[in-house]
Amino acid sequence: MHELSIAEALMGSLEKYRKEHGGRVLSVNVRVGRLAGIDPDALEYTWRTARECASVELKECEIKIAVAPIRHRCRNCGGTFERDRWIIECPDCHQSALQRENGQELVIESIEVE
Amino acid sequence: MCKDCGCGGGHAHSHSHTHVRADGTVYTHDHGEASHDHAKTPVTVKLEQAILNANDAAAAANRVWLAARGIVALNLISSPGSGKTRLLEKTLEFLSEKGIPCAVLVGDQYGEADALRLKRFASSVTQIQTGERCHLNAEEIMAELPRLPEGTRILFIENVGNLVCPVAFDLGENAKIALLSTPEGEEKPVKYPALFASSSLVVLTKMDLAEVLHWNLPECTDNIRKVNPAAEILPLSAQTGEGMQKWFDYLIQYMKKGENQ
Repeated sequence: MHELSIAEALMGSLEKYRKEHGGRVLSVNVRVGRLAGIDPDALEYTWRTARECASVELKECEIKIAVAPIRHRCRNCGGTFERDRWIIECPDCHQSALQRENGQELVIESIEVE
Repeated sequence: MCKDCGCGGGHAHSHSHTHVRADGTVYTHDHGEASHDHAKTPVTVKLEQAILNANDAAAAANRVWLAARGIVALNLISSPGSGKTRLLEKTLEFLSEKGIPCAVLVGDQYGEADALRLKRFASSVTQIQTGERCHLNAEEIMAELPRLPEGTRILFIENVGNLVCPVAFDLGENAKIALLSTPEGEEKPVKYPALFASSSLVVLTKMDLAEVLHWNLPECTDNIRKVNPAAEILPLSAQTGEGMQKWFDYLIQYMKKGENQ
């Protein structure tokens, strides 16, 4: 359950943005890797807690979480595959030679500001 | 006051603009010189910025700080009860006999139990209590670094016992080391792949129990290889001493690499 730490770090980044650029942040779009160890529901829940301590310009900021598919590249046949889960065996050549290219990302993609 | 939409004072120049009514219909109208204010249209700002930016920046600073002093930092991560503290007791005992100064930062949610155990084998042991948090973060490590004794060669960071959360937080370590004990079974690497995929070494602990547990080394090794073909795998028992020399060799090698940084 480190989602509260993630929510606090996210809020910290948005507070920093607000101080530098001003405006009210209406929503934040977040991209989460399948192997980031983040449960989207728990992050949404902890986001509501983090908002309680936020400045007035961020109090109503909604969080939108997109879970990114995992990109695999086969070291044997060179094929690339996007899947909702981590796969071990190459769907084409059936070798256990897949290299994972992402999965642990935790990224603020964009924010809506007015 | 604008008579068309009723919004309050603000700028004073002639222009036309668009409103959205409460029922969703859109209309555009002109303003004369009368001044008024109107809602700004929300804009999307692309950021593509890591959420753990602050942690990652602190970790990068820790890495620079440690490298400048030739200190190798190892982040030990595993389930609670897999033998991190026991392995460290034996390790500190060996390294102090060899005259290699080590320090330990140990994270737990509550209490000083681990620090008390480890203090018998090393002088610089600091307990970090994380409270409700289930992992250490880079800022906590940063706060402790200035207190490390001069001449420290290896910094062991014993993370909070947890296979999931500590993985997301870079502490500025040279390497993550995963521990997996035989009583946990052979499948943990494929059930909790994130840790095993990001560790450069997997230490298999409590090997003295393997036989009685019918624990299968090739099966476990195979599972580790599935998620991390490059990981080194080191089976050992801190209890019997089996495999410990290889672990010490690994540490000394790592330390020498640190000298050449």
